[in-house]
Amino acid sequence: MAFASGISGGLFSDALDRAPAAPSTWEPASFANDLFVSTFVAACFKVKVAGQDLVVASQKHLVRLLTQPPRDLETVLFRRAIVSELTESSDLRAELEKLYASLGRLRNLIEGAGGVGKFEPHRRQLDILLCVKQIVDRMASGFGGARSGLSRLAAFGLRVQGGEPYQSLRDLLRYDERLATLNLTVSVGADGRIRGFRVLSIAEDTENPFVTSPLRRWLGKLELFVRGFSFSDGEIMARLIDAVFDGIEDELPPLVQLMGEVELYLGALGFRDIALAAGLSVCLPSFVAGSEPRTLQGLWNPLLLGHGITPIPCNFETDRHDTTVLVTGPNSGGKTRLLQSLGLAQLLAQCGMFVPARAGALTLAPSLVVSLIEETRADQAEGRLGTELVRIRALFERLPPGAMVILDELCSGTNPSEGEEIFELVVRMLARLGPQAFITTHFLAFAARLQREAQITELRFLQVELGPEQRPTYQFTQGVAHTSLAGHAAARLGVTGEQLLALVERNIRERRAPPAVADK
Amino acid sequence: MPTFLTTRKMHPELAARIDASVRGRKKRAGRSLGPRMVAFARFTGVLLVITAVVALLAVRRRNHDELEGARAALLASVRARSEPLSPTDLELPTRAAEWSVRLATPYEGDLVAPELLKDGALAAVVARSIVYVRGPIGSMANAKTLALAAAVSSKDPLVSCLVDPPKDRTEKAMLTKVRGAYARDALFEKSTANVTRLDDAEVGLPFLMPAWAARVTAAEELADVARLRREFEKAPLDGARRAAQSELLFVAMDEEGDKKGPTELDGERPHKVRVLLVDLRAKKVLVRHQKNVDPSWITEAQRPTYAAGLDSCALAMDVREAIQRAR
Repeated sequence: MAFASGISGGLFSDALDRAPAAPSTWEPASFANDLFVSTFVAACFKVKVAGQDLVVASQKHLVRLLTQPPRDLETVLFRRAIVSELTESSDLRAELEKLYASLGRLRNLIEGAGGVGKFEPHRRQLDILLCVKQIVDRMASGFGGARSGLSRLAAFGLRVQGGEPYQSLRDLLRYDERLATLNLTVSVGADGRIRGFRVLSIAEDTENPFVTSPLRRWLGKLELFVRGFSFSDGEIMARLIDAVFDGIEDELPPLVQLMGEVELYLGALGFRDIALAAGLSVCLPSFVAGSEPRTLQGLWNPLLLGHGITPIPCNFETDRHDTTVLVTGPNSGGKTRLLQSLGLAQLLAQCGMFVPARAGALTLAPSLVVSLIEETRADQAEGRLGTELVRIRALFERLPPGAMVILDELCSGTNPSEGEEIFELVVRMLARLGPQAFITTHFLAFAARLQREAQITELRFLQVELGPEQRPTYQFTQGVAHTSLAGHAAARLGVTGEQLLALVERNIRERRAPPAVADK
Repeated sequence: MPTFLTTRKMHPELAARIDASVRGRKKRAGRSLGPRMVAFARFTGVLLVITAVVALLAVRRRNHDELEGARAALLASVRARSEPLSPTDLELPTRAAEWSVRLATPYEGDLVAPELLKDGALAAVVARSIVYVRGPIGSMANAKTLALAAAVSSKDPLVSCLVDPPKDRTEKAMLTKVRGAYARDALFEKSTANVTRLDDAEVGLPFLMPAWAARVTAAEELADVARLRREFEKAPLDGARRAAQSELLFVAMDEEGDKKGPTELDGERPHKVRVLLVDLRAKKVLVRHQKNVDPSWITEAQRPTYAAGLDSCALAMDVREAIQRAR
């Protein structure tokens, strides 16, 4: 239907939205929103062809691919190999970009966005077939030397090229383009006008199986009319196009999914380009066992970069993966940004994509749960404590053993004494699941006590490093912070005693001043 | 059936797909009917058109045959009716007009042809076939007005009293003849059976002319032929044929009169009447007579009703007596 008459957009994106992703143990609902994956994809996973940004066929599909990391390590390594090869070979990347452009053109033609007029109804279909041929040719010739999974493109292209449907397609396009060749001489007069021409020779492409005699073509038209079609040359071409398309159509659905896959890799390359342009590094981290150290050198937050802020990279390291890391430090010290960076790095690494770090070593996590502090909503049924308890309950309901857990400001919504009790309960329970947990908190005394008592052996403590004048450096060191530096934040936001007093006095003056008209 | 769209150079699988495509198993996008239904509709349409054309041609052929048949039948009827008539017979109105016009000119004087002077000659002459017309002298001066006069001229006591005179000239005897003429009784019809009105010839003979046959031949619609047939069948063809074949022409012309005397209720008044009896075959005047008629001699009891008839009968008797006197 789409080939015959075109449809008004959405076919590719709808198909991609329904396309299956690799099997995954991750549940996107557990982290996608809190980690702002859609924002990350829109801002950082930019698909470029020859340096120009393109609108992706389905951002939803990209988000789905990135929020469902393959369960199978082999698939992850397969993707990493492709990304790696594309990074190393600019030729392959250029070929992939051209292939993506051709796929985009195919999408436009099939979705009827090409603007081909009604006066030549078969031209659009021929253009689609021509586009399919170009895609197959590009796949066959452009990726022959690839060592990674890109070589599958060449295998696919060569297989299609070797089949009868492709050869019929090629013959039909040649028939449309060159039924016959006229050899002419043109006479031009002294005034520059054409005075006449002479046909030297006429050569029909007799080798083409679609070429028939004029009488046979006329009989063909008559036959079609009797069979219920139109009596026209266009109808003959329509039947031939129909037959050729029937042969090749089984090869087309994979091209739709291919477009989504190509977008993933070009998006990863686009992410790398953005990072490099900002002076940042990306890498494909090594995978290690959970008992080995977690290291992320030069870790940075891609969400900041996506918003036009150049992030300050930091080094992050723990002695093993299955620990619970309590992060303390002043407000606006980068704790939440660190958590986002850790989550996105884990996500991208398990998707086989570049992570926002110069180098790293990670272990695979069976799941990711991210819980940032919840905003107060108008329809909220519980108070702040109730909401926090609901958040904790939800966390444990969906938390498998060994999962990566990211909690921002746990129990910050209630009084410190009760909050600390719940906090300790959560930490002890988490320890039983052996997670890779990262929790920020402002309960500094409580955190210091836990560090001092060292009763929970899986606990690790990181604090925001402060520079001269007690300003955060956005780096992290071992230990528990001694202050939240609320005074710094208050001064920065205009909430010191002097500043508030000045505001109060100004308001009093304005209220006491009588209206000017009343004086007269 | 193989399709003309495939060639021997094509791969069999491609040829099979083209064959499947032209067989129209698939409905085309944007069309409510599949090719097979379109083909069926076209075939049905062509069949209907051919049937309609054949039916139209058959109807036209049948109408043409009916037209030809009706035309031939009508022409056959025309030929049957006109066959006994010679061209001269068909020109009777023209010949009658020539004699009438001649009589309407200044009167040439009374005349009795010698053939009538023999005994029994008058009876023999008036027993021959006669075409008769009477009218005002002004209407008899040309062929066109003569036809109009003939249309209102019928057999009257002048005719009956000429061919079968009363036993005497008494009012009573003549009144019997006049009443018989007015009533068109059997005796009147029998005695005047040899006399035909000129109007029958004027009205009927055009239907026996070649010009009318040409109109029949030129008729292109069955309805036209039917209309012509109705006109033909209504025409007084028997009378026309008898008139055309008449041997004698009997003409009576009523002159204006002096208009001084009274005019009776039936229109009769004192005036002169010219009478002409012509042998059409011999082209000879047998009797030419002029006589003044005056209804004053008629009794007042009969004058209002029978003045014209009695004067006519009396005129006939005068003509007979003039012939007798000429011997």
